[in-house]
Amino acid sequence: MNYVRIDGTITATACHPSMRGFRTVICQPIDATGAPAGDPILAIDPHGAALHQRAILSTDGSTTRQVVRDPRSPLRNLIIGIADAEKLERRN
Amino acid sequence: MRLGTVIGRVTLTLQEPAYRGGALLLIQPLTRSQYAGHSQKKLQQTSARPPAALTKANALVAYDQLGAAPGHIVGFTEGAEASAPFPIDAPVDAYIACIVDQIDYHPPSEPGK
Repeated sequence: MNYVRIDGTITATACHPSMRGFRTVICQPIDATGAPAGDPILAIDPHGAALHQRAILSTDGSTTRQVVRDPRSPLRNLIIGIADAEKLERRN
Repeated sequence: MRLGTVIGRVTLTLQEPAYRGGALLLIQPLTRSQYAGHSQKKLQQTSARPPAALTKANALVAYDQLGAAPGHIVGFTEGAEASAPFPIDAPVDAYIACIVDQIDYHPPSEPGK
């Protein structure tokens, strides 16, 4: 699972039927300090995360197929939780 | 799923039976800096196709059943999930799941936020 920040959304009318009914959000993987790490990933979001909110992104296809109830869905990325608070503990 | 610009088409003389009914498109994945460039614009209605900005990221071939054309920005999935939509086993590892109409990309101005 990745820790991501929600940086936006996309709209797409022409899409695979399993995507309909879900928000497609742009997720920016971030490192411990919150700086971006890598290119954005798209995911479907059943929980309605707000802009710049931190969320947990699951990349397990079988979970996503169960959520969208379509065994033939090509989707893999799914927002499974929205972070309320984060605490960085350095142990050295 | 990732975003990419369709930059070309691949035609095969001999192909797997599972490939029938769709097209193979060449896609250039978008980098983070390119997201801002496409944000807030109506992507489909622009008559002049936006020039595909080739980047160092290597292009890939994805299977398309939605009818995307060169210049479109599409969302594609990779890996085992890409062969999920096929009724029979298909050797596909990149599948175009959507053609993007609009990207609303608003990263926070200071990264720490």
